[in-house]
Amino acid sequence: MSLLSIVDAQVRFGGVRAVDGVTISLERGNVHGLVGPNGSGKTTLVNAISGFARLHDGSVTLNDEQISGMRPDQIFTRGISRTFQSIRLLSTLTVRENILIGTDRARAEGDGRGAGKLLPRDAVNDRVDHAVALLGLEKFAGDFPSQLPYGLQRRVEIARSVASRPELILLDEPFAGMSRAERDELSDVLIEIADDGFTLLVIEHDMRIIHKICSHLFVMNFGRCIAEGSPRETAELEIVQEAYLGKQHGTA
Amino acid sequence: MISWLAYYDDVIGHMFVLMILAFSMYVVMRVGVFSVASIGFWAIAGYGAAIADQYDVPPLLIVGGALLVSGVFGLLLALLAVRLSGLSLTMVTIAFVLLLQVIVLNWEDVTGGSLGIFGLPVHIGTYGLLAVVIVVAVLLALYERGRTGRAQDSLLHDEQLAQSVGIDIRRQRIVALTLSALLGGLAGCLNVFQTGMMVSNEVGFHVVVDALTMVILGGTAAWYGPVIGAAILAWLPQMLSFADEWRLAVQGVIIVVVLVFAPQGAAGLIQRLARGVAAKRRSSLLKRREPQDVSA
Repeated sequence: MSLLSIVDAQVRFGGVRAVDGVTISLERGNVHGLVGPNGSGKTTLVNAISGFARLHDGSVTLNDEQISGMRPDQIFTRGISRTFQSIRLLSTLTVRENILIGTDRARAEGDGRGAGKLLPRDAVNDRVDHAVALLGLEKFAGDFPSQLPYGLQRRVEIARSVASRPELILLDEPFAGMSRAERDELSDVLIEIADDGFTLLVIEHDMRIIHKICSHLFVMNFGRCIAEGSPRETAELEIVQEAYLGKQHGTA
Repeated sequence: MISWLAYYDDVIGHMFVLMILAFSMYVVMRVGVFSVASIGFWAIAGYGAAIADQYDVPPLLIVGGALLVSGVFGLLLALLAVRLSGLSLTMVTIAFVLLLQVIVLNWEDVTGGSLGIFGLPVHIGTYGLLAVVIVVAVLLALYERGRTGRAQDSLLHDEQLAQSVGIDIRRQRIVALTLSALLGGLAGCLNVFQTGMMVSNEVGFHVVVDALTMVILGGTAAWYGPVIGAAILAWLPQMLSFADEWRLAVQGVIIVVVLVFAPQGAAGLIQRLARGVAAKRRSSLLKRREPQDVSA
């Protein structure tokens, strides 16, 4: 059974079909990549999964429970956590407190229906400590986000997601705006997170990173999923090359 | 000192009443809702208390009744208002206050019209009001620690983020609006108990402006924001007595200056200074221990 199944998902903004009949499923423990040109519907798909965009048709199910139609906060308590394209940290809270927010409404393990009890204090501390260590933020836990460089701020966001111990983490361009060195470091961290048992869906443009971290790749264009499979094979497909480079032959 | 306290007893007492009204404004603003419904509940409870007092209802019973009525009406208004957001929600609360003003002015048999109700016994003194303020402040400070405080922070600064970490925005707002109604009702009731009167002036737009002044000056960063804001507002007439009829104009200038240079108000300023100090202390600590690994 797939962890998450999306069947014939459609999201429209006025006359624009931002997501136009996407059917994909995510497998537990995998790192999934989601690529496609700008405006191809990647973020809208992530918004649809996390409840920030309403589906006009189709369905999203997590562990056999339909989550499409639920509010974002309900979807979070079912076990899907996400980050945003822009950095969303609270400047008034320390790094550790920003990560704590991820655990505040998280439910105790073994409860998939979102109705479980809130976590006891020591479980919260364990999760936050674990997330802090996993993302290499030990030295900065007492700092305020504005004191950290951009790359580390991104890590705090990912730590916030990890600390909630979700079934699925959606990362919307976590590498955007990073230097090459920061990208390499963060991709190593994402591999560690996956080894820790998390399932990820990562939006990213850099195919080098995709090859490094992803075991399964989805390619979107014009609101549709035009190809999927192992990153190496999928990237080679002509339809994918066309989507990215345009219909032009003879380029190196 | 004693004579000073005696001389300004009314001002100090009024300041404590204003603090509770400011708390009422604060609890909704804290979760990112711009509501002036507090003034409505201040008025409902005020007139309710004044009318009941004419019939010699025991004061404690009046307070209980005021809390019950404003709590129920607050919940009803909240259920209606959370369907809206942003400016529309604010407009509903403004309409609520204006509606009450019309009722108060026209229902003369009950409210005394523009003259209001006066000559009532004084039920609470300055120390009694101080005790109430302390109890409310302690409860609020406890309430906004930890989980709840972080949820309020996220709602104030970034609604989408709040939703993405499982915070039910509507529920938080219903709780905040109801709590605000309770505090507004409490303040309105105590106002009548302190002054012995309820006049139509207490429902008008100028109360809305005063209440907003308190939360703007004090800020919504923490519970002590409204305390500071109310303290400033209560003493403004004394401090600005030199300005005579220009007093309101000077008050307006002060608000504009605060909004431009310290938009988070006094509480925000205090928190920012505290963050700066904490950051400096940490960085100097780190420098001293640089060679070893510093784990937080």
